[in-house]
Amino acid sequence: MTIKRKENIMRKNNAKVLLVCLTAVLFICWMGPSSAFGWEPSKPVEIVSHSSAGTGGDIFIRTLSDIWAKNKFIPVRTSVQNITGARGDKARRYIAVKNKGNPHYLFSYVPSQLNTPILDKSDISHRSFVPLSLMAVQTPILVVHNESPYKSLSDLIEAARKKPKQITQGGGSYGNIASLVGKMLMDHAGVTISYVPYKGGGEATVALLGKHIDFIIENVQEVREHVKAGNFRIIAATDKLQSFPAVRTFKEQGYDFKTITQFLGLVAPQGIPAEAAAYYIKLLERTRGTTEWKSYLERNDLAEFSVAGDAMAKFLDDEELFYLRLNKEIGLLK
Amino acid sequence: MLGEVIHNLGVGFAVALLPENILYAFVGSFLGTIVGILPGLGPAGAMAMILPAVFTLHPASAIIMLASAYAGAMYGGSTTSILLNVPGENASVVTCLDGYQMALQGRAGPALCIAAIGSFIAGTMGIAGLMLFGPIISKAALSFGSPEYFALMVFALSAVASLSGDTIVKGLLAMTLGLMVATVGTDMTGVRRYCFNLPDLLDGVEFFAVTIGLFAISEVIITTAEIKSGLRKTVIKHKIFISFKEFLYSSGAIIRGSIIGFSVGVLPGAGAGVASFLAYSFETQISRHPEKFGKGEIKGVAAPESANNAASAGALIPMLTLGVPGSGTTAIMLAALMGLNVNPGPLLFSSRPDVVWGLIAAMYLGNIILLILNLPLVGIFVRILYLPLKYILPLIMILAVLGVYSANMAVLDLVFLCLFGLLGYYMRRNGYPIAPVILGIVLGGQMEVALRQTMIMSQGQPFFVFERPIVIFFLVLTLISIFLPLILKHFTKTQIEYDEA
Repeated sequence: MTIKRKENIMRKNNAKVLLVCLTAVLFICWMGPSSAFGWEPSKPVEIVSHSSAGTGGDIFIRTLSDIWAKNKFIPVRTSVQNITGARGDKARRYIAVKNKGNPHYLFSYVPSQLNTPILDKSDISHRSFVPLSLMAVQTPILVVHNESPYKSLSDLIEAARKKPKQITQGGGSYGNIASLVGKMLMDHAGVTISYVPYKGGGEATVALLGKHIDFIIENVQEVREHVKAGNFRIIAATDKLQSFPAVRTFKEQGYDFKTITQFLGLVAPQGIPAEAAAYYIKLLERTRGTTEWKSYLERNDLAEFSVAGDAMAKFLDDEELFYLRLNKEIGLLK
Repeated sequence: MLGEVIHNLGVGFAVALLPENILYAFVGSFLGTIVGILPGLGPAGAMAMILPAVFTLHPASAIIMLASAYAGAMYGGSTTSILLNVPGENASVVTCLDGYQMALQGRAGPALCIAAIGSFIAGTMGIAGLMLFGPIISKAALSFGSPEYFALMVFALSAVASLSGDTIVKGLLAMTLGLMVATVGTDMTGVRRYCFNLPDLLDGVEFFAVTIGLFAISEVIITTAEIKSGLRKTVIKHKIFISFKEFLYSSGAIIRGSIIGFSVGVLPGAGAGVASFLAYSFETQISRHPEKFGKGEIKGVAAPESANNAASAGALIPMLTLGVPGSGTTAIMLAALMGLNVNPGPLLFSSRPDVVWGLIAAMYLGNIILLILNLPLVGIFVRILYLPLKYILPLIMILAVLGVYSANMAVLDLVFLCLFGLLGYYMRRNGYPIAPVILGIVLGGQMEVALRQTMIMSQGQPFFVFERPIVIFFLVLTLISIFLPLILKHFTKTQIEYDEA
């Protein structure tokens, strides 16, 4: 009786061992081919933007996705998804919490992703993501309506000096980069304006088209069509623009204040395999060499910026400290 | 100018009428209709679903398929509203009021028919408006700033009068509840209100959970109670198609609904939901028998269904000419166009006429296909009502839970679905109208943002709005729509007294 039971247990154990062995073999077979060539995505890759279609961070990931598909850089399909709402928190949570450890999700990372969590005291910071690479820097420009009386930056500043708080800047929710640049400019000039928050840069653009606000600060790619169509006039830029060389920078017009690096980068959720991160860093490195990428940079007045992996983590750490200080300086954070 | 339009349209149709493109239009319309019928998945869901497939097609075919799916989803939205009291999307909430009553009276067929015909007429009129006046209208819409939006929302709130019937106080209470629900979430400055640290609440209470809870779940409870107590009347079998007389009777409502819908739709900050409420309330106000509304008046189906289709056509105007999406649906359309390397914006009409005219031709084509597709479906859908209730009620529950869960994949939404279902039951049992709750939620968020923007612009001076003619126009309209029914009521009352005497 007892022997039989022992046998039974042995048999059961044997079966268990066999099962484990089989699983291990299967697992190795399954891992084998892919690990031989390093990690590769096996499912469609989804790239997420926290802002709606047509914004800088959105066009950026669409360009990446196109380049990868056209050059067959990646064995699977990539898709772009816009998850808007709750000041980017929905998108951040979607990547950092819901898809934690999933290497088939990537996230378009822009400065507001760093700053809004600070202002909102969120538990998600840039440390919730694996930094892959920073790819480009955008140039924010200050735009007024073409029929606006303000022809230069000093026109605008002097108007704000005469009528405190009556000049209005429109843009996305308060604390985003456009609002910070505006605040720093006006603090530097010693004047006060009013900031009108809209659902996003797009709605602010419409408000400026209807002359309901005085100016907006947006990236070139978001307002280029309106400048070309003669609706808007650029009166200052944070840097020299290739496509509009006549535009003078803030500095050239006598307003020299520390501006913000308006980077465009890509991150993945924390917890993905190191090989997967390495794969994407390499993929982005290859992307940089393509002619499509160069023409994207040129077309949108973007400066090349390549900081990847650990260097990007260090960069984000420094930027976070900078934002903390800046938010305190301009009174957004106590 | 007209010659140019005809020429361009000819070019557009030459592309749209290629056999494979007709096929894509058919597939798009069909998928759009099916997805639109499922509650929770509105036009935005339909388009998001076919988006990946679309990118493998030729750009013209892709746009044709998307446009047809867009139109199709707007058609489908009314089906469950009418048959089961489950609104398919927020623009079809008002359709429930009279549509479901018609279904209970055995007139589901005519209700579905008028929704399809109204959608067809409104969709076609909307596209004609887009084609003829697109760029001009988009300029006019720009004169709408935050104060104008606020005034428009105030006017839209006055629709509460026509949604409440005789119980205006209860209607106001219900609307206030809606406005309160709308305050939940992250506000425009980043402050979190009533979120209780729940990430699922950061963007507010899910609209569908409230709507489907209030309408569908409460309906299931009430019906069950009626079966228990033997009060439930069986649905009378009735004719399937609409009579010409009924069509003529509601044609005015279709035309008015289309015009209101299109005008509201072109404003990037309003949307089809607001349009359908306004169209419905306008119909009740000009009707000689306002008391019939809410009790199965066919105009109460025709007006909002026309309005939401015309609005969705109108919403394409800011998207195409300004590059700014006015709604979740047009945001996906915009993303799709950008994925096809088309950049909507002020230069689109001149730089990519092939895309614009292809889209316009596709919308015409889609509308015709949809009418052909939808009218025979009426006969099938109506039979759902002949099913025994023991099958219908679980079907409603399944649709409700699936629809709400599919919106965000959040369990919390299901909790809200149940809570609002119970609340809806309580309200209906005690004579509170439920549509004003939805009105409050639809308008509350946008109205608050517009008011706060206005206050920032004017630095807290409320009276500067009176310098703006559009604001005054809407405020006057609001006053008229509040007080005119009261005056008329008084007038008719004295008339009756006179007659009696």
